[in-house]
Amino acid sequence: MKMSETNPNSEERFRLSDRVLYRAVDDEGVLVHLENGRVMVVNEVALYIVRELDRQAITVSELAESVSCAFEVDAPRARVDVLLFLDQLREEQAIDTLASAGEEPTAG
Amino acid sequence: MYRNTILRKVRDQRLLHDVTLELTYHCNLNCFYCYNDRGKQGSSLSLRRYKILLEDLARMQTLFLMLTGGEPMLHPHFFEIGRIARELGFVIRIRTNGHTLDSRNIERLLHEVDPYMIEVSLHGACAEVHDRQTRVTGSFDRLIRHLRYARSAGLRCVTVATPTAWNEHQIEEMAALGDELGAPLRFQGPVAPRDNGDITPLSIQPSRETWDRIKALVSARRPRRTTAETKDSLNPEVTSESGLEKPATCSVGLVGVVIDPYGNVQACMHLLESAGNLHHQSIEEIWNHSPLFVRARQRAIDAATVFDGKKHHQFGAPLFCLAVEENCAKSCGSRKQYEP
Repeated sequence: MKMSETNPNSEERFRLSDRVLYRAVDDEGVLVHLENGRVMVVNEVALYIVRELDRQAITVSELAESVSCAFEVDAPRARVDVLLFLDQLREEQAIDTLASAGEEPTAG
Repeated sequence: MYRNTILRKVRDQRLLHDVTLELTYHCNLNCFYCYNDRGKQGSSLSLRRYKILLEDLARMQTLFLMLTGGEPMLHPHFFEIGRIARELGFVIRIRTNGHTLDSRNIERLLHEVDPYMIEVSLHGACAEVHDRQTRVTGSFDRLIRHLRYARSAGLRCVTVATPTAWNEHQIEEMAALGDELGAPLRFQGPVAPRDNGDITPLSIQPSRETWDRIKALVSARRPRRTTAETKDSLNPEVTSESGLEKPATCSVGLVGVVIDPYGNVQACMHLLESAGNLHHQSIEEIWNHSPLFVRARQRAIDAATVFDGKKHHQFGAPLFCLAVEENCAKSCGSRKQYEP
């Protein structure tokens, strides 16, 4: 089930998989998945989200708020964009999900 | 997307995207056609200098890091360098002869270095041919044993073969062996002179017909793509010139550098002129200020004019390497090797 079509648990935290490496190239990003070898090219906003996910395990609400502040967009719009991108990252097995504080991560 | 968008930006903004570290020229094999100049002198980079270099490169957003040699795993700090590189988030590729890739080192690689790809040299499809080129008896059996274990342990491997007069009759068998091992075969070439100008290796250049066979084989084996986006090749080498850029024979000077064991920063592993030395300057200073990269690029553009838009060829191989030409000239005077 896609996160963008449901209301994810507000306690659920996401973080970038340690199987994913990334670099900034100007205002875009390149993500490389070490397991499946796949490459993703992402835009500036997505690169910002990737960096946030790499920095800490974070909820959808926290991410949306952070994106809203950084890019001066309204919070509902930021939340939609965050959910869509998290869906993409989950499809690519590029994020881990932590259901609640201290729980072991699961891929995707 | 990666080629069209990212590589374009890398080139336009002169970002250092791809770095090759030649960690050592020592090797546990003795390949007949090895291009390295083992007599090259210098002061080896310390682990401390490698750490500074890798931190600088991470800050510069370099993505790809190739560890090669000689045999890179013989470097006394190979695993420390690999571990630091992994912690700093590089996509690491290791080019090895596989001789040291035993079960213990494979486990260490997985846990400490976590490479994206291992590239292993394959010289033939049987011991007689492979060992003739490596000049080490038993090297084929050992390589196959190590490759099987590496694959079963989960390392992504490819095999790389340089066609020669000694193995050209086994081109198809080598490709099949790569498939069987789960390490698909890639061909490279032509056989090059040694970097010191010794042209002895050229005596085993394969026939031009062999390159035609390889072309047909590669074409027949190429997968038919149905989607493009996330299946982009990770090879940062730019193989096609397009748009407003002037045609060049290769991407030298544009996206990457090679650093020899003594800290010399080169535009290509065979073009030995140094843009600067890491004992005296940072990689950032060298990349941003040395005129060598612009000169190397111009040389590649000038070389391309000889071909007048036709496909590049050198000794029958479908490419043209400035350095092969230059290193040949050290022994051959000004004799031209390329045939447009």
